Amino acid sequence: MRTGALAALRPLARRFAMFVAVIWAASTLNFFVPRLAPRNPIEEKLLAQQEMGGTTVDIQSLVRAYNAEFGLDRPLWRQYLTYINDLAHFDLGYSIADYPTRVAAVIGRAMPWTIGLLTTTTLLAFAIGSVLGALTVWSDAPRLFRAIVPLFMIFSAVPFYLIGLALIYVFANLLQWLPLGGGMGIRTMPTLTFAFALEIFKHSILPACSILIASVGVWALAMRGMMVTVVAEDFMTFAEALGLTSRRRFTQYALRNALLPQVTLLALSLGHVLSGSILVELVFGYPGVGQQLFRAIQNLDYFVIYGIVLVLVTAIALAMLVVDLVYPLLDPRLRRLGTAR
Amino acid sequence: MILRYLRRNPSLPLGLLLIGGLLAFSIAGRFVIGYDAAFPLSGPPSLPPDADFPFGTDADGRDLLAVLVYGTLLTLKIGVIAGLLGVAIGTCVAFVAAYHGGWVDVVVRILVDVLISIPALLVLVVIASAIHTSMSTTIMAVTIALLAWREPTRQIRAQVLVMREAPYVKLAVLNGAGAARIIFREMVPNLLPYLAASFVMAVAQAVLASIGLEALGLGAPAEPTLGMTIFWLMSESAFLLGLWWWIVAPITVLVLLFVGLFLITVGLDELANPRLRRDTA
Amino acid sequence: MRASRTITRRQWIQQAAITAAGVAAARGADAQTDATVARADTLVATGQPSGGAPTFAQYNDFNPFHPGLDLRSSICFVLEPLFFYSVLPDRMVPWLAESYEYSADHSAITVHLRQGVSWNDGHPFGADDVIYTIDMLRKNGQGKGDQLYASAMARDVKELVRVDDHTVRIELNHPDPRWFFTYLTVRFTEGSFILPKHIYSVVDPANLASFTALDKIGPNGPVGTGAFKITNMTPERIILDRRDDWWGATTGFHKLPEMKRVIFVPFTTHEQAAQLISNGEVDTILEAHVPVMKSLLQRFPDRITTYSGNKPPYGNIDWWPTSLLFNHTKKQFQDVRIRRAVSLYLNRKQAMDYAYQGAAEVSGLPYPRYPRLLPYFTDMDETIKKLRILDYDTKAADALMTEAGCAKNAQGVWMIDGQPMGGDLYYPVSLDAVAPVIAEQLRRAGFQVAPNTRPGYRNEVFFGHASWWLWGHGASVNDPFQTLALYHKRHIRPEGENAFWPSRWRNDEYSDLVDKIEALTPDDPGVRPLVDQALTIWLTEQVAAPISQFYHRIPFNTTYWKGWPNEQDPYINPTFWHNTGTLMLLGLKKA
Repeated sequence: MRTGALAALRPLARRFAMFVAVIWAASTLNFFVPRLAPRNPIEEKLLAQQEMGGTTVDIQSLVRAYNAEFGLDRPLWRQYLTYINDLAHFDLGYSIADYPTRVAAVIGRAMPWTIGLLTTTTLLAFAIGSVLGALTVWSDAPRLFRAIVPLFMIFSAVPFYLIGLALIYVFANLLQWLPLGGGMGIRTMPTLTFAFALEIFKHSILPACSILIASVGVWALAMRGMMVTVVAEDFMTFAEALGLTSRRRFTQYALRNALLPQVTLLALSLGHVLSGSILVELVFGYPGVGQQLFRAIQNLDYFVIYGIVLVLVTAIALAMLVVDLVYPLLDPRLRRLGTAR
Repeated sequence: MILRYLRRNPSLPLGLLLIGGLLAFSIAGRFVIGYDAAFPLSGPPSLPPDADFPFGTDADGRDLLAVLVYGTLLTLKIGVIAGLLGVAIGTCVAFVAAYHGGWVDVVVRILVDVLISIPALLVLVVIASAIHTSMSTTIMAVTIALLAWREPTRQIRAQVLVMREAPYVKLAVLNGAGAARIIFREMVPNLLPYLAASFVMAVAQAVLASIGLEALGLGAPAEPTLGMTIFWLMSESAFLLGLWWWIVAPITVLVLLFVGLFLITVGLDELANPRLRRDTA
Repeated sequence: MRASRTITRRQWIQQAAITAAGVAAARGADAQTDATVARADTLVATGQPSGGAPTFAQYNDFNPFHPGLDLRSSICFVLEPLFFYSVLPDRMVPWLAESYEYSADHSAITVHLRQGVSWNDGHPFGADDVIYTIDMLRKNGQGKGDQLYASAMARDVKELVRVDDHTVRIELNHPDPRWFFTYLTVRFTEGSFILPKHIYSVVDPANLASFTALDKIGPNGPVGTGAFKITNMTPERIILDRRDDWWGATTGFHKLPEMKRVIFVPFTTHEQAAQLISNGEVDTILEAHVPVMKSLLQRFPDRITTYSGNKPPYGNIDWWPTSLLFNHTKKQFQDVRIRRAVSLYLNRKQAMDYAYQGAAEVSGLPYPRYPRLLPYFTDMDETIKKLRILDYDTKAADALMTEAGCAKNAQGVWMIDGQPMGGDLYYPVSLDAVAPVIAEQLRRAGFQVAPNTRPGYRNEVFFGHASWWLWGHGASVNDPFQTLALYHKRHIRPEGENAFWPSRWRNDEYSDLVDKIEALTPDDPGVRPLVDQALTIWLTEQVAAPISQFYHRIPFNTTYWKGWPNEQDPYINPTFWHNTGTLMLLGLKKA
C-alpha cells in the first residue's frame, strides 16, 4: 500500500507525460505535413514580388541567399532535429514571409484578439447550448424552448461565415448599427479608457454573434446526447417518485449530472472553434490568429504555420490536462473512488 | 402498428425522407439538365430566376439549377466517402484495440487522444494546401477521412469494451467460438445502431469540413460542389450586389441536408435506446 | 444548495437583455478618435494586404531592399528616389536629383542632386547618401546577395565617384543606356529609394537581411526625406503624419500635401472594402470588381468616382496586360499549330463580357497601351489581323489540332501521344475575374483544365511544372525592350529549376534581335524596325496568347478629398500603394 502523496502523484505524472506526448506527436506531424508538397516557401515569397509587377529583380541569387538563411537547403531530417531542438527551448524561429519578424511576435500580436473573442463566445455558446439541448429531452419543458432548439440546429447547418456575411449586410451595411469589421475603429488610437473598451466590444459583437448562432446548435446536440443517458438513469425515476418538481429535477438532478461530462468536451471544442475562427476572422477582418494562419498558408510560411498550430495544440492539450485534473474536484463521485480510468 | 411508430418518433422517417428527397432531386435532375450547365458561360451572368433559368445564374454564368443538382450529389459524395472510410477505419482500429488489449490498446488510445485534440479544420487546411496534384472531390474525401476516424474509433472502442463483458459473448467464448466468429456473429449485429449513428454523424461533419475547406479556396474548382458555390459567391460579393438567388440556393440545400442528417441521428438514437421514446400514455 | 454552476433560465434572459442594451448603447456612442486630427484632414485608404488576410506583412520593416516586401503603404511616403516616372503623362519627374546625363558611350551616368534637401532628423542629404546606397547594395551583391538589386549592382557598377557634395558619377562595367531608368527611377513597384548613410552605415552589408532600420530612428521616426513620417505602425494599421519641415516646402519645390494624416488599413474582402468606401470611412480602396464598381457609382454618383469617371473601363490602364502563357518545354505545346489553335479557341470578347462586363479592351500585344508603346500597336495591326491573333474560330482551331496530330477521345478530350491535353490553369489572384471564364472556354474546347490559384501556384509556374497559366507582362512601360527581353533564350531553365520568365521558349533569331535592341538607346530610330521584327516572330510563333489590357479599377470617395488623378489630369497613376504613391498624395486637394 503506497502512501497517499505518491499515489496521487502517479496519475499526475502519467497525465503530464501524456501531455508531453501529445505535444511532441502534434509537432512532428505539424512539421512534416506542410512539406508534403515539394514547394519552396522562399521562392513563393520572392515570386510574389514578381507577381506584383517587378521583373527587374534577379530572383535566383535572392533565393540562394535566403534558402541558406533559413536552413531550407539542408536535408529534411536535420531540419527536423533543429526544429525539435528549438521547440524545446521555446524558440519558434523567424517568419519567412515577414522576415525578420519572429514567429512569436506574429502570434503574440494576434493572440489577444482571438482569445478574447473565442473564449467569451465559446463559454456563452456552451452555456446556452447545454441548457437548450437538455431541454429538448425534457418532456416537461415548455413548448417554446422545444421550438427554439430546432431553429438553432438549422443555424448550425449554415457555415458561420455565411451567417457572418448576412449579419454584416444587415447590421453593418443596411442598418449601420455596428461596425463593418476590424478589431477597432480605423482612426482610433488605443487608450485605457472605457470608450476604447466599448469600441473593442462593439467590433466583437458581430463576429461573436455569428459564431454563437452557429455553435449553440452543436452544443445543444452534444448535451442532448448526454441528457438522454442521464434521463434514463434510475435516480431520475426515484426523484420523480419522491414528488420533486419538474424544474427541480431538471436543474439539480438531470442538468447537473449531464453537464459534467460536457466540461471535458469544452476543452475539445476549443479546437473546433479555433478552426472555425479562420473563416470568421477573414470575413470580419478581425486581426486574430486564424487569419494569420491563413496568411501563412497562402505564403507557404512554414515556421508561422508550425508556431500557430503548435500554440493551439498546446493550448488545447493544456486545457484537457486541466480539465482532467479538475474534473474529480467537480464530481464528488470520482473523488471518492479515485480517478476513473 | 407502423402508424403508431411513426406518430411516436417521426424523426427517422422524416430524416430519411429529407435526405431521400434531396437525392431524388439530384438524380432526377440529371435527366433534366446537363453537367455542362453547372459550369461558367452556360447563361448570361448574374441573372435572377426566370423561365429559362428557374434558379437564376451566378456571376460567371453557371446555371444554378444545374449547380444544385450536381453539387448536392458531389457534396454528399464527399461526405459519404469520408464517412464510410472514417467509420470503417474506426471500427477496425477499435476492434483491434479493444480485442487485443495490452500495448496495442494503449498505443491506439494515445494516438486517438492526440489526434482528437488537434483541431480538424486547421490540419485539413494545412494538408489540403500541401496537395499539389489537381484537387478533386475524391481526394478531398480521402483527406477528410484521414481525420474522420478519430471519434468513431473512440466511441466504438468503448462499446466493444462493454460488450466484451456481456454474458452472451462470454457464453460464445465458453462454447469455443473463435474471435472472428464472436466479432461478426455476436458483436457487430448489436453494434449496428451505433455504427449507423456514427456514420451519419461522420457524414455531417465531413460535409461541414469540406465546405469549410472549399470556402477557403482549397476546393476543387473543376467540380461544382456546394462549397465551391459558397466560395464563388463570397469572392464575387454576392451579398453586396444583392444576388439573393445565388445565396439562398446552396444554403437551403445545406440546411435541408443537415436537418435531415440530424433527424436520422435522432431516430437512430431512439431505436438504439428504447427509453428515449416519448411516452404516449 | 442551488445549482450555481449552471445558468438558469432567468440568468439567461438577463444576459440577453444586457446584450441587447449594449448594442443599443453602442449605436449611440461615438468611437474615440485622436481629437487633434479631424477626419477632413485625414486620408484613409485600404492598402495591399499580405496573402489574403487582413494584415500588413513586415509592418515593422523599413528597409526598402528587403525582398518580398509587399508593404508599400509606409516606406514610399517616407523615403524618396532620385527620379519618379509618371507613366500616364509619360513624364520623368526629377525629385531628389535635378537632372542626369549619360556619357557618350553610355558607360557612365552623372547625376546632379538637388540642393537644400535634408533628412527628417535634420541631417543634410547629399552625394554621400546616393553613393552609400548603391555601394551598400553592391557589397551585399558581392557577398550574400540577399537584397533587391544587389546582384545587379555588383554586376554593373564599376565605380562610384563623388564629384562634389551634390554630384555623383556612376561608372558601369558595360554600356547600358537604360540603367538609370531601370534601377534609379521609381515607377510602379520598381526602382530604388535613397537610404540615409548615417543610419545604415552602422550595418555590415552582409547583415542587411536582419536590419529593419527601426533600431536607429530619429525624432521623427524612421529616417527619410519624405513629406510624411511614421507615427504608428501595427500589422492592422499604419499612420503617417505630415511633416511641415519637409524640404519640398522649405525649398519651394512643391507645396506641402494638404492632408495632415494618412491612415492605411489592409484590404480585407471586396465586399467590406466597398462598404467602407461607400459609408465614407475610407477615401479609396485597392480595387473594386466591375459589378461592385458599377453598383457604387450608381448608388453614390455624388461622391464616388474613378479615374475614367463613371464610365468604362472604370479605371486606368495598368502595366500588366493579361495573356495566356505556354510552357514551351511541355510536349503538348511544342507545335505552333496547337498554340495557334488554343488562341483561336479563346473567345476574348465573351471573356471580357463575363469577367469585366465588357469594360476591358482586348489586346493583341503584350504591351500596355501607354503613350510610347502605342506606335507598336499601329505597326503590328496588320500582322495581328493576318495571323488571326484575336480571332475566335473553333472550326479552324479543330482543324489545326487535328493537323498537329491530336484526336479527341470518347469523352471529347483532346489527346496527343495517348495523353490527355491540358492541365491546371494557374493564375494570380488579381486575375480571378477572368480565369474561370478562360478555363471554361478551354474546357469546352476539349482540354482537361481547371483554374488553380492554390498556395504554391507560383512555384508550379516558375519551376516549369505548369503547362499553361494566366499572367501579366509587367515589364515595358515606355520602352518596348523590357517585355521583349523576357523571352530571351538566356532565361531558359530546365524543369525543376526556377526560371526568371517561365515560358522557356527558344528562338535564336529573336534573341539576336533583342540583343541588338539592347545595344541601342531607347530613342534610336533603329529600334522601331527591330522591335517590329521581333514582335512579328513572337506573334507568328504564338509564343503566348495575348488576351487583354489590365486595369486598376480604383474608386475614389470625393467627400473629403478631390483632385484625384483622372483622364483629364492624369498626373500619376492612382495606385497609391505603388512606389509612386507620394505623387498622388501631393496632388490631392481638400474637398
